[in-house]
Amino acid sequence: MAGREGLKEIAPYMAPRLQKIIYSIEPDIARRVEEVRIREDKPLILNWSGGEALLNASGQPTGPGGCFCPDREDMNRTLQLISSCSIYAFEEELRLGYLTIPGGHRVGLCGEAVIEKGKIKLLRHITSLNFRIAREITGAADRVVPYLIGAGMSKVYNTLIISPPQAGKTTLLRDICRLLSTGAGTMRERCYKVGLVDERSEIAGCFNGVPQLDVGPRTDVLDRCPKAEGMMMLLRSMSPEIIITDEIGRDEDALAIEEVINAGIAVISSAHASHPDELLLRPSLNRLLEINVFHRIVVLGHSRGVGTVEYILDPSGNKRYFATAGGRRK
Amino acid sequence: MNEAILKVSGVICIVASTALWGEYKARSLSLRLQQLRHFQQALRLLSTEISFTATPLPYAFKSIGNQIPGVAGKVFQEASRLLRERNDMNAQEAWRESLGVMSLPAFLTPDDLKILENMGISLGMSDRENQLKQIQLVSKQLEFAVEEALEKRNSSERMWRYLGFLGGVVLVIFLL
Repeated sequence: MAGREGLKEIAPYMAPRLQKIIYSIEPDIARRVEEVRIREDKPLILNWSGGEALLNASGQPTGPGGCFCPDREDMNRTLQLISSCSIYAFEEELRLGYLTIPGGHRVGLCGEAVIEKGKIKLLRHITSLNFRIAREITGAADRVVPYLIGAGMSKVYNTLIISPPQAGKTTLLRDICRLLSTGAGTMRERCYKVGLVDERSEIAGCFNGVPQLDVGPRTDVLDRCPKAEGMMMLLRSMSPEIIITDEIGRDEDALAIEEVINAGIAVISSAHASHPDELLLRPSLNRLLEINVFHRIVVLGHSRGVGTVEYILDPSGNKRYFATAGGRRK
Repeated sequence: MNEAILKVSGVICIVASTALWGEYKARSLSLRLQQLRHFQQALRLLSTEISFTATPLPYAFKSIGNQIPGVAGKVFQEASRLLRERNDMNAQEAWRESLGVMSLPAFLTPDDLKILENMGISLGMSDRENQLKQIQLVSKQLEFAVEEALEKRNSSERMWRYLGFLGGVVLVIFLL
């Protein structure tokens, strides 16, 4: 999904004054936008990979002097719109600090945390909102998926995708999920039952439990479910052939992955790291690497733009380089 | 002869109209009570929707509007429509505007309307606990209003009926 359509989808969830500004953004900028940052009494800022623009009241990029600053009323109106005027219905989301709106776009929230019994109960006096446009790039994994499937197409390799932040891990993971579930293109119609544990609603972008982004027809989505528990639930109940989840790192995630693999199910996951060696510094991932859980490590980077597949590593240490990016790039 | 017929029809008209007026006043007391009770029921449903299923207001209002009869149901349906269609309105504004749909068929007093308007304050703007407290407060106020309406109906309903009829009779005697 391009930033422009994404902007059109998120604009109705903003206060009327902000909507007007968003609708008048120049197409050239709108196309690139990944985030809209709304902070109380601070400049309205658009962000994209490697750049940003401060906007004035007519939606034009400007310097810090003439920029538009949303006030408390704008914040409240926006909050009402994203919560359907029902803050009480989004307590769990306010506790976690984000909610998902139709289209699979996520709104991050910051404000004052209300603590009860030592735990965050919810956020109030919201002063920062971050609209993150869901970037669905169909075909991002076209060139990667053939390397994740073993001979005879019966086996999908356990795969770990690593990259620094905002390099396209989730986008790639979503498209891998779609392709394996659909069985399209290179796989000559071999399709798989996929279980997706989407703890942060980033992969499928579920709204009211319904995936807003294409994750394929044979994908069962466990939305907002803790990864480790979710993997065990899928294992017990949905007989998946592949389990996909993102950003593993905790000990319980590693234990759940071991369980899943012992049950003969392939795991495709992602982790924050710019180099495979960095994984060794994290005890739980280190253990998984020691017992050779992952047969493929896909390394993403920024060398040729967002979503560049730098190389794919196999257990014998062979690196398979790509002449061009794995997915569509800028 | 014609004069007598005219007189009799005049008498019937006067007595019938004052009796109808008395009936209307008597019925309006019962209808006020009924409408207040409908709002009470609606608030009970709303607190269930909020506490058990945390349904967002547009959908909760719609479901309540379909379950509650009469004017109260219409108010909730209208509030649901406004919340779904008008994104420039917050819950309080939508609620206040929807109370306007009952300006004609409602028998509520200005004090009753004030209580209902109060329900809009902080509607949808706080967490579950505070929403329920606010609804509880309005429910309590409605309960007092219902008690008062019940007392008034019991004491004045018959009086209005008699007053309507007898008023007509007195008027006729006075005119004759």
